[in-house]
Amino acid sequence: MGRKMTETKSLLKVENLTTVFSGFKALDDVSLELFEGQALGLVGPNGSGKTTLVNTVCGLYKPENGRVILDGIDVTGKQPHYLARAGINRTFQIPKPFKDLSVSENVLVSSIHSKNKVSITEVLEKVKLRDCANYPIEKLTAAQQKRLDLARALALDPKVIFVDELAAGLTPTELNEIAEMLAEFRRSGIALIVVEHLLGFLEQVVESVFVLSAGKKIFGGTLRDALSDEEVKRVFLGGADVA
Amino acid sequence: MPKLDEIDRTLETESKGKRLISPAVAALVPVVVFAVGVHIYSNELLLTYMAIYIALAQGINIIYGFTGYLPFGYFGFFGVGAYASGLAMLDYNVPPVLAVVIGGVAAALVGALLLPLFRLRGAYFAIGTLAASEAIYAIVSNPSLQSITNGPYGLNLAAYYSSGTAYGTAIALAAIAILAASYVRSSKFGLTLKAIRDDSYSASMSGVNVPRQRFYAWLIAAAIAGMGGSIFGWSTSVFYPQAVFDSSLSVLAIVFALFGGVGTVWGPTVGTVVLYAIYNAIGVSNPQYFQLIYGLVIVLLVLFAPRGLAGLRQIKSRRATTVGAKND
Ligand SMILES: Nc1ncnc2c1ncn2[C@@H]1O[C@H](COP(=O)(O)OP(=O)(O)OP(=O)(O)O)[C@@H](O)[C@H]1O
Ligand SMILES: [Mg+2]
Repeated sequence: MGRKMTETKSLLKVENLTTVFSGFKALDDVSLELFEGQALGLVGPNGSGKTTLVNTVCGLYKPENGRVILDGIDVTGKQPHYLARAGINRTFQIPKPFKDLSVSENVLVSSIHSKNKVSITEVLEKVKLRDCANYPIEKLTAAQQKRLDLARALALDPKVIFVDELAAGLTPTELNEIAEMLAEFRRSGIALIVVEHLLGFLEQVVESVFVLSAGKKIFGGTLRDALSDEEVKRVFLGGADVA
Repeated sequence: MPKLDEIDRTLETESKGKRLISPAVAALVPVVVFAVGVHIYSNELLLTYMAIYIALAQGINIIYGFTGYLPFGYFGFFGVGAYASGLAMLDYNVPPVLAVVIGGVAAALVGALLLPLFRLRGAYFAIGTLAASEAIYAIVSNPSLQSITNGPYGLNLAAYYSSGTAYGTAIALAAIAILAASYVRSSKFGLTLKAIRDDSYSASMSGVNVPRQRFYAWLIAAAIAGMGGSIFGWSTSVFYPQAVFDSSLSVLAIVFALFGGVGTVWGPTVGTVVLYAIYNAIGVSNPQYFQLIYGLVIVLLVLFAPRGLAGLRQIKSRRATTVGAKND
C-alpha cells in the first residue's frame, strides 16, 4: 500500500521479544526486522540466546513480552504448526528427521500439511537429495540430514527460514554447496536468519549480522563492522568462536 | 502450479495400491476363517470373544502402534460401550446392531472428554487412562445410580439375545477394525501419525496440528473398544460392571497386539488368534497366573521386541535391503 516498487517487503518483525526461563531472561527485549530475500546472521557466544530466539519465534516457547509480526500479521504466541503453515520455518542444531520414514516421505509430511502444495521432486532437487528419495534416514550423512531439514521446510512454501548451526561438522565442499543453496533460496524471495559460529561461512551467505550477548542485542550491522566493534570484540574475547 | 512429478506420483500410487488390495485381504481372511470356523469349532461364544479381541488389539495398534501412547485404561471404553448399548436396548428398545453403534459413539464421546490425558507422557499417560477408567467404573457401578445403571447388579440383555447375529456383528467389527488399522497404516493420516511418533515438535514444524491428529486416532480406537464392549455385553447377555470394566481386558489386548507386532496390519490379528487360543486352552482355569504372565510379557515385549512377531520378519527383510543398497 503506497509503497514504491523498489522497496523490499518486510517479512518478519520481532518487537521487544523477551523469553524467561524460571526467572532467567534468556532473551531480553530483542527487536529485529527482516526483508524479502534478506539473510541475517545471528551470532553470539554460547548460551547468549540464539536458539532461544529461534525457538520463541517458532512457537516452542511463549514470550513473556513482545510481538512477532509475519508479513503484516501478528502471530505472537501461535502454535508451531500454525506458524509453519503461515510461513515461518526452521532447521535444527541437531537434525530432527522422522527416522521411521524415507527421505521422500519426510518431505511428504510437510507437503500434506502445507497451505500451498509444492512438488516434492522439485524440493528434493533444490537440496540435492533427489537421488536419495527412497533412502531410509540412517543412510544419509550428517550433511544430507541437514539438507533434509531444509527440504521439509521448503515443502511448506516458507517466507522465513531460521537456520540453526548448519555449518558445524561439514566439509568445505559441503559448506560451499549449502551456501549456494541458501543463496538460491534468497533469490526466490525467502528470508533467512542464519545462526552460525563459523564466520567464514557466514561471510559467504549474509551481509548483515545481529549480535546477541546474554540475551540482549549488542550490535546490528555489517559483518565487517561487527568484527571491529569494541563491544562485540569484548564479548567474544577469549572465545574460540571468532577464530 | 501443483504438478505431479515422478516421486510425487510414486508416493501417490504406492499408497493407493496399498490402500485397496492388502487391506481387503487382511480383513477378508479372518471373516472367512471365522465364518467357516464356527462349523468346525462349535464354541461360538468363545469365537465371538476372539473376534472382539482382534478388534481391541487393532484399536491398541492404532493408538499405540501409530502414536506411541499406551492406554492401560483402554477397558474403560469397552465398559462404556457395553453400558451405553445395553441401556439403549433396555430403556429405548433400540435394535441390538444399532445399539452397538451407539456404544461406539458413546465411547468416542468419553474419549473426547479424556483428551487432557494426552498432556501426560509415557507411563504417566498409561496410568492416567487406568485411573480414568477406574473412575468411570466407580461411577457406573455406584449403588446410588441404580435407577439408571442398575449399579453393582449389572445388566440383563437376555431378551435381546441372538447368537448368530451377535457373532456376525463381532466378525464385522473385527473386519472394520482391521480396515481402520490398514487405512491408518497406508494413508496420509497414518504417515502423519508416524511423524508425530518419531518427533512431535518436528512434526509440528511440518505444519502438523499434533493434538488434533492424535485426537482422531484416539477417537477411532475408543469407538472400536466401545463397539467391542457392546457386542460383548449383547452376546454375554448378563453381565456385571466388573466384567466389562476389567483391566485384564486391556492387558490381554495389549499383549496380543504387541506379540503380533504393532504398526502392522496382520500382527495384532495373528497375535490375538495365537495367544487367545493358548489363554483359553490353559489360562482360564488359572486366570491369576495368566494375568501375571501376560503382564510380564508386556514388559518384556516393550523392552526387547517392540515390533513383536512382525519385527522378526522385518529385521530379515531390512537386512536384505541394506545389503542390496550397498551395491547401488
Ligand atoms: N528450555 C530451557 N529451559 C531453561 N533454560 C534454557 C532453556 N533453553 C535455553 N536455556 C538457557 O538460556 C540460555 C540461552 O540458551 P540458548 O540455547 O538460546 O543459547 P545459544 O546462543 O543457542 O547457545 P549455543 O551457541 O550453545 O547454541 C542458556 O543459559 C540456556 O541454559
Ligand atoms: Mg544454540
